[in-house]
Amino acid sequence: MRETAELIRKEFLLEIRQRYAINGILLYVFSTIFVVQLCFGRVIDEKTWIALFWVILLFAAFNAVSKSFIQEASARRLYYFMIASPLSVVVSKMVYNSLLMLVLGALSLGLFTVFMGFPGLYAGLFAPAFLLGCIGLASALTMVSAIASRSGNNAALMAILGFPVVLPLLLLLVKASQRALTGTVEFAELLRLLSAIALIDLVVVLLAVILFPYLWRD
Amino acid sequence: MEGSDKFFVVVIVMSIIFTGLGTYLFLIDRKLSRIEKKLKEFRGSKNNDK
Amino acid sequence: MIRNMWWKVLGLLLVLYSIIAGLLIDVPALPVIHQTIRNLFYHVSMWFAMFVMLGTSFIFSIRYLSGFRMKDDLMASGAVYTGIFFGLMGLMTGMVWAKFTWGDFWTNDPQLNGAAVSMMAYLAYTVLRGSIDEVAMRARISAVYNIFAFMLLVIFLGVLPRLADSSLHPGKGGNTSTMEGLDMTMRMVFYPAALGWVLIAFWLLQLHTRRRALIQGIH
Repeated sequence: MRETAELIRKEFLLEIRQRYAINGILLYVFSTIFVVQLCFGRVIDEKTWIALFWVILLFAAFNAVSKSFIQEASARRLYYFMIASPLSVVVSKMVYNSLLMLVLGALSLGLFTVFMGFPGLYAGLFAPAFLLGCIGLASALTMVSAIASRSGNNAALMAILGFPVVLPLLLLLVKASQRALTGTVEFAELLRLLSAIALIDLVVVLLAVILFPYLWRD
Repeated sequence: MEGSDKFFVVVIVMSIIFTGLGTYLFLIDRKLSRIEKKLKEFRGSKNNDK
Repeated sequence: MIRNMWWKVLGLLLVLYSIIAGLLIDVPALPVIHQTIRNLFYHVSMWFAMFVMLGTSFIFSIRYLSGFRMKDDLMASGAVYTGIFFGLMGLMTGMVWAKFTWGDFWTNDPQLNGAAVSMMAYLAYTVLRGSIDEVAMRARISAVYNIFAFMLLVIFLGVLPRLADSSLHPGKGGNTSTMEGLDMTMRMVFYPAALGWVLIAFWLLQLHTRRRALIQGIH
């Protein structure tokens, strides 16, 4: 537990010291949203807003998370391998990436609102879906990044391995967001959508915890 | 189906093609078995030499 | 000989039976699809074979991680290749069927999306295998991805269609007509057809792994 907290702290320190990485992602998010604004103008219908928002967030997630294992040089990986258990490594990475995704997501949401306006989304459904979605995307991509980092050409692999894995989650998120458009949502419907998203999150986290030790060792 | 449209001919043709494919699969299977056996014998003779 | 071959013969006979009976039986008159309902025997069987192959691959990947025997890795990867073959057959036959009944090669249907994502995931699996040179590492990493991807696919195919508003495929969403239309005579053809193709898929898997084992044996 303390090991995990220590590793999370290390991630934060690294991020702050190498500010170019996070700045790059922020700039990426800003540029894409700006391009969208230039292309579509302010008037887009609400379904397009939701689709664009999630697509941009998905690519931001790929950019942000893909470096989480790939940046670790093999010497450094060996060092972690000696001092930390695989469980705390993967948990710390997932927690850190989830937090990063939440910040990125909130930021994209803000930028989207500034540039494109905000559709009347029912917060009772959208907010938890957004929260669970960011966590799920970050965790799934953390795992994919760990897999891709063990192969030769990891940058290209990250994308092709990642898409099929995050697609179920992405489709659910878009569906939930679209449902949130209609204003009030029935409680049963809300529960059904959120529990489906939570189920995916849970499966991803469990699988990552179980499978990561096999990736970690040499 | 009514018998007047000679539909059964199509059924026979498809059956022949599929049976042919199946036979081909069997032949491959047999060949593989033979090679597997040879490899085993080859290894056996190699071990006997030592 | 006979002891090892019986299931292969059974598979062939079942599929042969489904070709003959599937074309000759009377099918219930249905709107839109009409006579093409007979495709059920052939097209859907492809998906059955694919899923059984991918499931087999999943099980062998778990077995590989619990024992690190190269034989399990050979089976797991072979099952993926065989599964991809049947998946592509299912995709192609499904597209033709869709064009002549629903009017488009591709419709935005949860079942179709699921199939496409499965194919993407397993093609990615083959790319992953290709990009790792060391044999033991390749087996281990691809087994991890296989398990990860398969579990998410199960969710994708099991949970999402239930949440969908409508589907053109039977038994999901608002459309249940076709399954109800699946009367006894059709069942008598469909189940043997699916079983037959599954057996043939296992046969192809066996041929594939035997060939690979031979190649490794020679080297």
